[in-house]
Amino acid sequence: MADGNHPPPLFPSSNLMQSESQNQPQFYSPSSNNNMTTTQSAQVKPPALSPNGPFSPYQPGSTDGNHITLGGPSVPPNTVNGLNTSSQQQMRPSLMASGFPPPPGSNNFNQPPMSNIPIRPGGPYPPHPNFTPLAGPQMNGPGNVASRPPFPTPPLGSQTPGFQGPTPPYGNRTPLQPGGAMRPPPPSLSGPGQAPPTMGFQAMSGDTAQSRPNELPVPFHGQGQYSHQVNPHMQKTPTPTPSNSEPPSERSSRGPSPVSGSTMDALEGQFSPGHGSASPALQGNRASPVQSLTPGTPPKMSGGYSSTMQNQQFPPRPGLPPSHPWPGSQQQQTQYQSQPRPPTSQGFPPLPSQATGFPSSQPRFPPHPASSTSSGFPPHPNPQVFPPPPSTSNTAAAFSPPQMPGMPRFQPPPPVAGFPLPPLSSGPLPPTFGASPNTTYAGSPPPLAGAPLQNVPGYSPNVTSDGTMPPQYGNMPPASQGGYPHPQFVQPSFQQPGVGYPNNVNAMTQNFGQMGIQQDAPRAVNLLTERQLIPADGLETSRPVLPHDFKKVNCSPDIFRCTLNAIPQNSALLNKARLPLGILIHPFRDLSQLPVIQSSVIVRCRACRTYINPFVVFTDQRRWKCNLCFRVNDLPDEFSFDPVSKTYGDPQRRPEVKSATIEFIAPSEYMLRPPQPAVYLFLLDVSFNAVKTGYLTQFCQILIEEIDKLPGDNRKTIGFLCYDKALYYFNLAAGLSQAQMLCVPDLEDPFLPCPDNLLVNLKESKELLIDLLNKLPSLFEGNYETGSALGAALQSAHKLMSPTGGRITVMQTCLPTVGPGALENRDASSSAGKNVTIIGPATDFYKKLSLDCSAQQIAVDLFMLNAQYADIATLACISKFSAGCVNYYPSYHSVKNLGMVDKFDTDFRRYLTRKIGFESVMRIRCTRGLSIHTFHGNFFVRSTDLLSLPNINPDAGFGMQMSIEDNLQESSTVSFQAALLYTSSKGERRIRVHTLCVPVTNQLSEVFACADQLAVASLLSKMAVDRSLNSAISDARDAMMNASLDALSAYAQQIPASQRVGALLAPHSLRLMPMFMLAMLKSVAFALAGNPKVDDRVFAMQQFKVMPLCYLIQNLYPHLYPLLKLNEEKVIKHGDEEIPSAPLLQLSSANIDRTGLFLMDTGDAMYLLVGSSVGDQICQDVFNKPNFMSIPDGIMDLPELENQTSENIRSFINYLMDSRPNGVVFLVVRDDSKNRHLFFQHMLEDRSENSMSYYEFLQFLQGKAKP
Amino acid sequence: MAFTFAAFCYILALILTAVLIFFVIFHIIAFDELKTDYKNPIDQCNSLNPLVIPEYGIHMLFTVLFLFAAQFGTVIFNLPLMVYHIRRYLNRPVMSGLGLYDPTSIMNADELGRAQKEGWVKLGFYLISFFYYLYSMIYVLVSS
Repeated sequence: MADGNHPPPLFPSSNLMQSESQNQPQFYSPSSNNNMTTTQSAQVKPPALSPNGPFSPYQPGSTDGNHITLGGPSVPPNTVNGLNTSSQQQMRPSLMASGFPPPPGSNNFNQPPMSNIPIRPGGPYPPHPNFTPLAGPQMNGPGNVASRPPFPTPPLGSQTPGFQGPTPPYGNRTPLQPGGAMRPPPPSLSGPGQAPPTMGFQAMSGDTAQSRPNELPVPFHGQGQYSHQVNPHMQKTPTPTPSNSEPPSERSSRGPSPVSGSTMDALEGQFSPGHGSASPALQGNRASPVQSLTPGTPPKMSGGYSSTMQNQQFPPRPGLPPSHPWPGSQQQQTQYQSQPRPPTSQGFPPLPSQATGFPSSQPRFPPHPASSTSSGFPPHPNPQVFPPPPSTSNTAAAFSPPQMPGMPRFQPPPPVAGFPLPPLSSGPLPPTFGASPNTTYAGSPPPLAGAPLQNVPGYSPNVTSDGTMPPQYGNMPPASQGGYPHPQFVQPSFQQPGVGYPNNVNAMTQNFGQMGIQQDAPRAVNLLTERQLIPADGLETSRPVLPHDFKKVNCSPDIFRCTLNAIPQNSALLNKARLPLGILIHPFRDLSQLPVIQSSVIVRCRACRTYINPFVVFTDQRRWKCNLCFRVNDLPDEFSFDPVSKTYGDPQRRPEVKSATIEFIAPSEYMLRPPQPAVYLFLLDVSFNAVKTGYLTQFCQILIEEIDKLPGDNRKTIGFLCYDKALYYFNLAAGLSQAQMLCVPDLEDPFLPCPDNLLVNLKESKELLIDLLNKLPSLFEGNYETGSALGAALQSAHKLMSPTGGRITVMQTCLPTVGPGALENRDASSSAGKNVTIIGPATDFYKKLSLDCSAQQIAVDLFMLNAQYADIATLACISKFSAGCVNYYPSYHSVKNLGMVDKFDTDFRRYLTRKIGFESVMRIRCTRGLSIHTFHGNFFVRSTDLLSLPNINPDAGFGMQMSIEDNLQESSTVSFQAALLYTSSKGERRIRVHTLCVPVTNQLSEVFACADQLAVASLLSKMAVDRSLNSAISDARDAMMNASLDALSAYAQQIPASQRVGALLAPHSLRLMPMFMLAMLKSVAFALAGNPKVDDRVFAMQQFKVMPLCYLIQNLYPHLYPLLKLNEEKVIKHGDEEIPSAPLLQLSSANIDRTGLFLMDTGDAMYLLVGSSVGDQICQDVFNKPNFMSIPDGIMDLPELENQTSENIRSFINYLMDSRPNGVVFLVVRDDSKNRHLFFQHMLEDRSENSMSYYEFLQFLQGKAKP
Repeated sequence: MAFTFAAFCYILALILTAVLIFFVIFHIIAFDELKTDYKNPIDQCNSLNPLVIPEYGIHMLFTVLFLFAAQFGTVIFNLPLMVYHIRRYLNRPVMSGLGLYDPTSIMNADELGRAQKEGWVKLGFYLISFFYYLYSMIYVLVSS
């Protein structure tokens, strides 16, 4: 398919096949679920495919085209559509089933672009074949392609077979088969489509909806069929596909080849030149395609898009479950709309299962309850809230589908009936048609339908707000959701309660909101007298307050947030406020629900390439106004087709418009080359020092245990390279009886000892790998070589990986001292005062190498296990610019430092199994008038708004400082959009789009009232790191103090002088800013006192740059809980468990008493302080010791005792540990212990030898502020 | 009228300033391209860095020549820029090659803005110098 466009696939397709899913092992199931859920078919749209649709080039006119495009490019999507329900399953499954690599999808994509090339593309690419099949089966995909003028029909035919083949394969499908029934409809559709095709097309193009009504099928045929098909697909995907698929392709025929004209969008942003004309061509094409299609080809694709929800780790929402299975077709749709994450994909069992599954795998993800709403929550009841699916129909109705309203949108369905396929699908479908959309709908999908339908009603209402909300808030607790959305929006941003406690919070928030927050203007807080700043149940999360017409869901604050939830209208106002303006993004966060869309048409602004999002304005049914550049764009016809209801109508029903976080399966225009396989290379330090720490044994053990969970498809590739003063390669060719070690002592000109087999297919060589891992520790056991040639090893690794890209994992235990990149111990020669100079890199060797790696799509992740100085400042550069991550385990020793061993164990397991995206780029767009000033995080900035990220992982956070360049008067809101284009580990090209909308204000008071103190503190910490590196730490400290001082002074300016006397006023929204600044001043990164180790300091700085907000804040201002006050009445729901919660205390010794147990949770470590007067009963209950004195100091575990106190405490601590991605060092600290400082150094509000107490700091600020 | 060493210096400076003007124009264009996304910062830095030392060297060369030619007014005129060049080079990012521009930090809005501003200011300065040298050359030729 794509071949034309693409170069030959790098990798054997065979491996790819598995595609299915697994990108994320963990998610796997979820993902599947996701797929299912989301898949919807946009089918309806068919009429006018949006020319622009996916491809900018296209024009709307081509309804068929759309289909085509869809089918073609996004065959998978189509499949999805068709599949929809089955969506992912089908798609991927099909892929999988077929054995095709994920790429197929890509291939399909390619094809479209390629247009000319027959679907076959697959031919060239091994994977493709698969794809094609998939496409075929799935739908239109291939068919579409074929249909496209460019593609020769034959291919289609060929494909078809393929498809069929595939379909069957998809055992999974079985469920699908039911779907199969569904499929029939598609055919039918196509049938109708065909017959009338031409006519239809014309009609379609011309009139769009109405004329067709009757004919709809025909005109739309593409779309209509699609839609039908789509739905059917979901169910049927497999079966119908064959026949259907091909035809569709033709129809869809991206013929318009609009694509062809277009340029690549491989960097996610670009324009494609050829947009303009597409439509006409499309139409023509369509017609022809359609005809060609003939009945068989159902335009399933056209709709094109199926959305699947991915659940990543989180359990699906309640609603979802239903969807998971077949019912899927409907369900999916429903899911779609609701977005409720279909938690599970089709394949998966209902949510429950997912949920369960997930937790286990990654319970941790969910941030703290408090920290982020995110994960923790169970699935929403979304469905209810959103009755998405039904909604389609309903919605359709509800929304006046202007064009189609009354229409027999369903007509298409009728056609379906007509189609051969009908048998299965027809049954269901017909009803649909006949009945009102809704009913029909329900009818067809019955299985799922029931629920969905119900939803439907709700749906329409839900429409905006509710519907939207859910997706975003996936995190939020279910309970809240129902009512949630609105209240939240309404409420003033600051009042939002903590994430963690959904229900309560909601209630609280609502109350707050009602209190008239906005009017009251921000409450001023006198910091000198107000001591209780942090609510016992955690800090509130501020959200932008959007105008009513954007009841839509905004992006979750856990993913995307802005420091100012009311953006100043001009830079003068911003300067007056003295607050930093910036955004913080956690783009690849593990989500419980994520709508995934596979559509031939990805609707983007022609001018700025913004993806359509919930905050665009629809000027009429056919146009939308970009919210970033304000250009008015045409809306592809397909876009107004609601796959769920199979009707044309309000485009607002589309998931793209209902969810601010969405994922597209990208067509081939988004690829520069076939998606790469997952390639992992491990660089292991085996010098004397490394062997002494004993990490190798643990490393090998963990890797053996987790090796099957490494994300990737069949092409998964792995290799090892050990180094001390020489490099040791391992030949792991599949045929060998044992791995061969090849030693290369030449460091200056490192060469690869053999051309291949150093990186081997994981599956083929698994036995060898396991064998090697078992022997590795003993192999180097007696190594007395102290040199470490990290530089040469990295150069070799770069050479080894450059053809494919991938991930290099480095385990380093000491300073690299030999070969290229050798470093000197700067620490020894420097005194405390010179710290400033050694927090910067000593050489640019690693930076340059890192840029070379970045260019080859290689990321380097660093695990530092050193006890001695190892110059992390320099070594971290290798990760910094290749978008890797740095982990630091100071003084790691397998025997002497068990806390670190535990932490390494947890972290490394998570590291190996977490989701990963390859060869990615992220582009940040913002409304005209704003521009990005500085980026913070690990990446290479390729252009003013484009970040090059060879790898993206779920733990990477980014920050961007923004500047206001023009007055923001054109709109009452501004939007930020982050689009992350990546290759999943299954070899699928995907685009994850987050859109954040923030209101604009010209009132200074509002700017203050809506400031987000957490985001401000987070951004300031990143800025402070830059300042430290460019200038000096002392400058950064001054800047921090000034930042809080300036902001408070600016705020005080607008308070009547009478209120200011003797007070230090802060807006309620910024009441913690001085506290956070003080915390930063006392943090390891910026403290001047105590003279922390340079590596610790540099690592802390590095973490400030990359940590997502919730972890960063916790790191800055740890959580303190009184463990004896666990409240069993106020429980946190975690999975099936109910965990008693503890109130959050401020970090002041005033909150500590000698009779209690206190838990300090810094994110990386937990310290349990045992008060010296703690009761004997508690000692007995918790520690199994008779009294305080007999509790051993420094124990790292709590005994499992069978009493309520112990169980509560342990479940609470376990819950906390599970709610984060990283491992934790747990330590029990006795009040009289020598480790006492570990606990008390975090009591930030206390005075210490070298630093001010919080109160002193406030007085200091007040003194400074007076003049 | 005589062809003195000073006159030679002015003629040489005149020619070299024309060269510098080209350098600066290239510099301005390069940064403009960076800002508008047309170029990859790595490529751009690779093309800009080799020009930094020649530019500074040329400027320093004729400044020193003016010193030898006892054209102190002209030396003082050029002194601020020379000092700026030296300072700028001493504070360059850690890098193994010659040059000033680091692809990883060049995209920072502050850096870009500064480089662009620097380009325009230098362009103005060299243009003024050009005519000043032209005038001075004729003046020296005529007066001596």
